Amino acid sequence: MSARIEIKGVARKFGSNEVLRGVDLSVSAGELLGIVGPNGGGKSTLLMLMAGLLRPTSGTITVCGIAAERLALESAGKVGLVLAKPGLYPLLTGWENLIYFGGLYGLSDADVRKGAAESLQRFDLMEHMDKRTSGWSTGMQQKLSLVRALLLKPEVLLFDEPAANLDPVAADMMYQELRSRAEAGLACVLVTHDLHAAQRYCDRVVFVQVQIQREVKPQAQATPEDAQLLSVWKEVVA
Amino acid sequence: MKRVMLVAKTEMLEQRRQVSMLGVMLANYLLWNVAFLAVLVTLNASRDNPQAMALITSQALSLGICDGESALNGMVRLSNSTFGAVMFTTMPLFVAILSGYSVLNDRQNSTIPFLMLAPLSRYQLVLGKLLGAMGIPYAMHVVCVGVTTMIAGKMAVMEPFQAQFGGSPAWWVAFLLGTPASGFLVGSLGTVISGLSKDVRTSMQYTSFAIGILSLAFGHILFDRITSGVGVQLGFAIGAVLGGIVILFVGSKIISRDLA
Repeated sequence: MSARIEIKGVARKFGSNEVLRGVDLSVSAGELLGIVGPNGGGKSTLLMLMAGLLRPTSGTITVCGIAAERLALESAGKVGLVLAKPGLYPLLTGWENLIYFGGLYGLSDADVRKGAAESLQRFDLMEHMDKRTSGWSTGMQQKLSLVRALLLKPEVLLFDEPAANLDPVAADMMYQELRSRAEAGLACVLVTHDLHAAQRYCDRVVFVQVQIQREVKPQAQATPEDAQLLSVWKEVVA
Repeated sequence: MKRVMLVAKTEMLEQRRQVSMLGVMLANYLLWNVAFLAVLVTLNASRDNPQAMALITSQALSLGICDGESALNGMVRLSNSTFGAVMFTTMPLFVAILSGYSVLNDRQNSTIPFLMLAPLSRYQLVLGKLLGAMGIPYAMHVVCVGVTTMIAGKMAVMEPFQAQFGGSPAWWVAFLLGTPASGFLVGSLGTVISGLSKDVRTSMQYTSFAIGILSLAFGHILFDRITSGVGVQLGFAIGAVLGGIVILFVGSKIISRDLA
């Protein structure tokens, strides 16, 4: 499998605060990588670096062979992003949100409607698309954020706590979607506090606390207590 | 340019749905225009009324606004300058508030990461937001001030002031070009300040000072310089647009793509 994301010797500081140091990591096509760790450990920073939305203080990150910070202007659409907050305009309808973001990538209204139809049907959003998203539930908004991420048929999917505000059913749907996209050949990264989800859906899990502290291959059969991940977590955090 | 216009169009779509905000803006325009016309109608009707003229004269003398001219003309001149300065100040103020708020809105809705992921430069984004913020205030400005100017121009009391009001080409340049140009300049500053600010409070504080002072200054300069002619007004408009472009360009370089 070829590496879609390559991270070499990456460090990131915010002022004098060192959030990441010496991170080496790669994510292959068809792989779902989980990133877990304590609050402030650098997980979300690492994901934002992969998306090119933050720049490393040192080291390099390439996504699909392109320096991450140049992705947006040189090869936009290769990365799909879903964050804990859906990032929608509440005064716009579902369609207006999708058409706006799609339009920024050069898609016409018709392209957006056609490209999103299948996902919208699958997530039961189609009948709500002419209503303003301010009236939608958080789960519906998050599903629309996912549809937006898939609209451009990305090669890499980056999820940062996508289920943070979702009920268990919606959260499970989100994780399953990510899993199926990885199986379809996308390189996927999931930042989460949900050890059960990391255990159940990811191919590999890394613990991040400033550096990558440990890498774990989840067991085939996840236990409810997630004993393996939890014990590593406790050990790392301690 | 297509992406800039898409950002601008979406901005305007959002603003159109903020009914209360539109109501406040429109009420402000209507209040000033109706008040101005009411004053002019009253002064116009007072010309043939000796009692009213005596009252106006005593008021004008006590206010010290009859500097070598009739009391009636002094009162009309005062009304004109107040109206002109306020109307030329209002649009830049509204543009700057809307464009500054638009960036804050993106911050609050957490849409910035998704915008930054798109093939859109920061310059295109802030320019689009600024142009989108100009549309509705400009439409209100043109309709309200335009109608008032035409009605006022037909009144007899306005005859001595045609050169500095609706009868002067310089007025129309200031009204149609100078005001939106100063809105572009002040709005560019509001947009950039909001983009640079790390939080809503800081942004609101800085933009309030910068926008308030600059809008007032430009409003007064525009009106005071109408008698200087079309050339001066055109020069001001072009200078303001160029200044706005420079502010947006420099600002978009300072606001790095790094979201931290």
